Parts: sequence; structure tokens; C-alpha cells
Amino acid sequence: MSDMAIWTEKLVKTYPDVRAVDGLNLNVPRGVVYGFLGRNGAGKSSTIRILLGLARPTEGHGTVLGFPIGREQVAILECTAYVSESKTLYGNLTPRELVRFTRGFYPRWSDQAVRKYSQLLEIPMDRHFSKLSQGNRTKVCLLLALSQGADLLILDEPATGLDPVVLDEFLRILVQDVVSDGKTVFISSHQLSDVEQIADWVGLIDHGRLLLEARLDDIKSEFRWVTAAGDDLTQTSFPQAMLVASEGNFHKYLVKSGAEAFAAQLSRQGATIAEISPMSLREIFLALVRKEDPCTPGNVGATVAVASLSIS
Amino acid sequence: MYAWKCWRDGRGRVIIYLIALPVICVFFTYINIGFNKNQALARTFAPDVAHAWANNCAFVLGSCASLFTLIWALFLGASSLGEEFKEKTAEFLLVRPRPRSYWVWMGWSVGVGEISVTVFAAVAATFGALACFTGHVPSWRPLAIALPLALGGAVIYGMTCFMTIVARSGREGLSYGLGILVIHLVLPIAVSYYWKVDVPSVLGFMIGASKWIVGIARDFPLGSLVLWTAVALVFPFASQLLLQRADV
Repeated sequence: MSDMAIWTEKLVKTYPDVRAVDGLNLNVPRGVVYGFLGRNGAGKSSTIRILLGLARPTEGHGTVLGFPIGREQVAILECTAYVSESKTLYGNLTPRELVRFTRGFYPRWSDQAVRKYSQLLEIPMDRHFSKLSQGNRTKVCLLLALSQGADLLILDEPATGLDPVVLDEFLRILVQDVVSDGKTVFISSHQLSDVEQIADWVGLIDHGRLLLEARLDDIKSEFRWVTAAGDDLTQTSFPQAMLVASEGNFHKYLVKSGAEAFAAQLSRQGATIAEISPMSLREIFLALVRKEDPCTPGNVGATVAVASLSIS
Repeated sequence: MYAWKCWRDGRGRVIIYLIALPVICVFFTYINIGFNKNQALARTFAPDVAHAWANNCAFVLGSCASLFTLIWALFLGASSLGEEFKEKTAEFLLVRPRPRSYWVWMGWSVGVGEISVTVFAAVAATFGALACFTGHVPSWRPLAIALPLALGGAVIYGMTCFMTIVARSGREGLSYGLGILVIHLVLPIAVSYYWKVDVPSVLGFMIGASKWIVGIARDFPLGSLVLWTAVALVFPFASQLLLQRADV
């Protein structure tokens, strides 16, 4: 059995007008909450579609729970629960009927889980799906996913429409009931604060490429802002850092690790270190993806960051 | 469970047609019997009650019911698998742990089953009406007319299902299917009229097989049976291949 819940190598998906996934190498360990972060159109949903067999990769390959993508798709789907971004189910069925429909496909289906989560999430079980609010639709999708007894939950923007109370309850369920049971949760989102609450690992995707993949704790402990003042610093490239902003003589760098050593290096070049400060996930996300195209030739700093920040 | 869902989606239409088609057949039977009673010509063609039975079966079931079955199959097919793409539920359905061929064949089986039940009800109603109006039952053989009718319905149903998957929309699939059906029905007549060449037609097969079953036609249309059975199976196969290669 593979120790990776999801593994992909050089995964590519092209559509006639766009390269949605561009050489993606994902390594999602088992038994963790993995936050798959990116802007709208970054390639998150396209990646998920490939993992679930809804779309065929143009190039590359990978496995989900040890089963090769595309070749053993039914085996993958037996062990994987999925909540789609659209949250569109059959409008003419009630949640109770949707449970009845879905139950038959999964040998490990749990009616106990249905009872528990339908009460916990306060789902109106006898109203047609089309008549439900967006929040309740999301809850029904989550209910179906949580009751399948799946080893891997793939959740594409799962917080859509949920009020803060239900969202909090849902995140608690994920941590206490799902991950503590040894299952893996793969959350695709651009809601950083939600992911930051529960994620063990984070993967950051932009323009179909993985900019960063690391433990959240490592990111928080190692990523630093280094603000320095000095002339000619923009003329020098630093492989371990990414120049994020410059204003006059002040330059702000994102450093993955060894911020103190980097600051010392800057000092040796005559710069004055103004501040070394920790970074939030939001700041890291914004710093990495705010560039219009992180890999254009003129955008050297970002290119360096892409090359150096991936943690395998 | 998918069979249950298919049935649940279409049950209203199925029940309506399950009532409507037998009523239409009984109505035409009544009209036809009444018409034939007063016609010297009809007595020439149907000198006894057995002939009257055969003529009625061929007209009511072979022609009227066949045409209505084709139209029914067309509309039933419009609400099949391809509509899931339009409704954006395909993503939900196709991540259930089943091969994609399962969805095609299960849906097709349910649809063909519904058509078969409806057709059998129509044939039985016609049979009962004839027995009631004439007070005579020559044989149970005319019940077999349900088979070519169901086969014809399966062809059109499969074709419409395929078109809904091609178009990824029930309504557009119905439009394409309707266009193909009209061309398919008109083309053989036109070709036969202008060039004296027989072009196989599913309606022609349904009428021909019905006539053979009731004893009007001498030759059983075996070639047509094989052809249309193959065509009925080709469409779900084509749908399967298409769906297996489709990005959702």
C-alpha cells in the first residue's frame, strides 16, 4: 500500500484555450488534512477532476490511495468521497432520497453517520434538494460524503454557503471524526482562514503549477519576512529569498528558511536589517500568487521562489 | 439504485403513456371495427372474423401503435443520461463507483423496459377490445406484435439517448433525434418512390413484422429483425464509448 493518499507526477491537463494543469507534482500523505490552495482558475478543480477520473490527463500520471489514475478508477471511487464545487445534486429528490440513492453504491455506508450528521448539521431531510438554500445544499453534499466510509475525502470549496456555526461544526467533524480515524482530507479552497484552522499540509497552486507544498507548521516556523534597507540590493539575486516589494531603499523579502543567515548576508552587503517577522499563511499565499505570472522571464524573484520553495 | 432513480424520474410520463397508448389503440380498434362493418370492400378483404382480427391488428398495432411508440421512445430518450450534463448532475453521478458503461446500460435497460411494458399493455388492450367487440378470439399469437414494436422503440430510444450524450442536453438531443427520425421515416419513402429502391426503415420493419405475426404477410422479415436488433444494440455501445472518453 502506498504511503501517499495522492501522488502525481508531471500531471498536465490542456484544454483548447488553456493549460489548466501544468506539470503538477503532488504528494499528499495519508491521514492528514491537506489544504489545496489557489486562486480562482488556478487549476484546483481541474486537478481534482483528473484524480476522480472525471477528466483525462493530457500528460503525466499518478495514484490515489495507491490505485493508478484512469486505470483503476472504480477502485479509487469506492474509497473516495467527493464534494464538488457546484454542489448540484438531483433537484427532484429529497436529502432522504439522495441518501437512499447513494447508499447502495458503498459497502461501507453508515446509516448511523447519516443520523448523526443530519442532526448535527440540522439538515431538512424531507424537502426537495432544489428548494434548499445554498448552505443546506452544501450540508447535504457533506452528509453524503461523510457517510460513505471513505478513506479519502476530496472537498472542493466545501464551505460554500455555510454559516459560521455550521462551518465551525463541520471543521470540528473533519478533525475529530475523519482524520482521527486515519482518513485523509483533501480540501481545495481559497478560504485560507478555514484551511489554516485544520490543515496539516498545504499545497499552493497557481497557473496549474505547484508553487509550494509543505507542512503548515514548517511554513509557519520557517517562512519569514525580512525587511532591509540598502542600495543596489535589487541588482543581486538571492536564491533562498524572493523579493516581494521595493520602495526606495527599503526591500521586503520572503525567506523560506534561514532568515537569520539571509539577514547576515544582506548585512555583509551593506544593508541594514529593519525587521525579521513571521508570516501568516495568507501573507505567504498573497506573496506567491500576486505576481501576474510567476514564471515570466522578467519576474526573476518569483521564478526563484518557485524553484526553491518546494519542500519535498 | 440508478434503475430506481431512472424510474423515479420518468414514472409520471410512463404512467401517462401506459394509460394513453392502450386507450388510443382501443379507440382506433373501435373506429376500425365500426368502419369495416359497413364496408362491402372490407368484407371482401376480411370475409371472416379471423381476417377482420388480422386486419385490425395490422392497422391498429402495426401502423398506429408503431408510430406512437416511436414518438414515445423519442421523448423518453430525451430525459436519459445526457440530460445529466445539462442539469450539471453528471459530476455527482459519475463519481459513484461504477464503470461508465454501467450508467449507459442500466439507463438503457430501464428505458427499454418501460417501452416494452407500455407496448405490451397497448397490444393487450387492443387484443381485449377486439375480443370484446367481435366475441371471438382466434389465437393468442397477435400478442407477439409487442416484440417488434418494443424493438423499434428500443432503436429510437437508444438513438435519442446517444444524441443527448453527444449534445450533452436532453432538449438538444431530442431535437437531433427528432430530425433523424423524420429523415429516417421520409427518406425510405422518397427513395422508394423516385428510385424504386428499398431502404430499410424501422417503421417498415415494425409494420412488416406485425403483418407476418397476424398472418397477412407470408415472409418473416428476418433480415430486418437482425438489422434492427443490431442497430438497437449499436447505440448504447456507441453511447458507452462516447461517455468513457468524455471529460465531465
